[in-house]
Amino acid sequence: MHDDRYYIKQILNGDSSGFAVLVDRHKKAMYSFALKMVKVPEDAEEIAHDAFVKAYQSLGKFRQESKFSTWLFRIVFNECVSRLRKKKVESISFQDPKFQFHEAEEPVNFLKELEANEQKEMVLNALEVLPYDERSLISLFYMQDCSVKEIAEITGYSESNIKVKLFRARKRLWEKLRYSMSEKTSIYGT
Amino acid sequence: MVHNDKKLDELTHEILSNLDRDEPSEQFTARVMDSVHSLDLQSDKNRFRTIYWFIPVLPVLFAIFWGILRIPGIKELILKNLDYINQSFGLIGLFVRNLIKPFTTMSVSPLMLIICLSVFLFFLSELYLTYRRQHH
Repeated sequence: MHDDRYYIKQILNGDSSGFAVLVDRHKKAMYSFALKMVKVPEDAEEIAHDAFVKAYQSLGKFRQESKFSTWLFRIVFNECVSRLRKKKVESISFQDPKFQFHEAEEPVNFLKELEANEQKEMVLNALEVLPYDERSLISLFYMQDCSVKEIAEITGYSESNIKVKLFRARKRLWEKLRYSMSEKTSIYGT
Repeated sequence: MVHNDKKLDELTHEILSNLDRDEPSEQFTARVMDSVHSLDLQSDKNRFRTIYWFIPVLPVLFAIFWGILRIPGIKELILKNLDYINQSFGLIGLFVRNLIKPFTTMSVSPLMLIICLSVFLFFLSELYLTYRRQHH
């Protein structure tokens, strides 16, 4: 199995068959990231598809200073942002006082009490409530294992801005999780 | 607070990195490759269109050059002003590029370049022959 650069060179030399390997290698990450941002599976697949086609068309412009996946993430991110702007869909702002995070409070491991499926569902629901820029940062940092530097390349935000946004996003995510958990316990009385 | 955030960071990482990645449909790669192949075909078509458009243009260009060279005294006039013409080559190049630009959606193809060079060499050889005839 060769690295991405090998196949890029092959494609630039006129053999497009190597692109299938690159698509297979990165499709899961790109689709997964797009889905976290736009939330609709059909839209996410279309965005990932268009991003790969765009990448193929502009492969000659890829300077190979960053990883191919970082470059792809950037295309997917831009596609998602322009689509979300067109649709003017934005997550509900999470400003309700009851979600406010108490700084003195220790984060609890309440999620560990749940079963894996329940835990997954709750986390995904909490992620969906975040604004799309925070959702994208959480997804890139924790789920796609991108570094802050790579996220800066993908999103165009500065590294310090990303750290601040990540801090806020993390807080909001856990506020939502805490709230969902308290709702659950009050309903089921557990 | 810093301690709390560190803990949150660890917990978030622990939970989110364990989530399964979503997968696109099984035909995803095939669909992308279909689009890529149709793009390749489209670009071949454009290349063909470039040549296709140049076919009627070529004899017209020849006729223009031929016609100009048949004007009595034009060759002598050109030869006298070679320095000026030389300086104008930059402008001629610009003119040729703009002339062919509407016929192509891509940059100048190698074939187009060869055709333009042939026309240019023909023009130069005509000038050289006239020059030789005058001096021998």
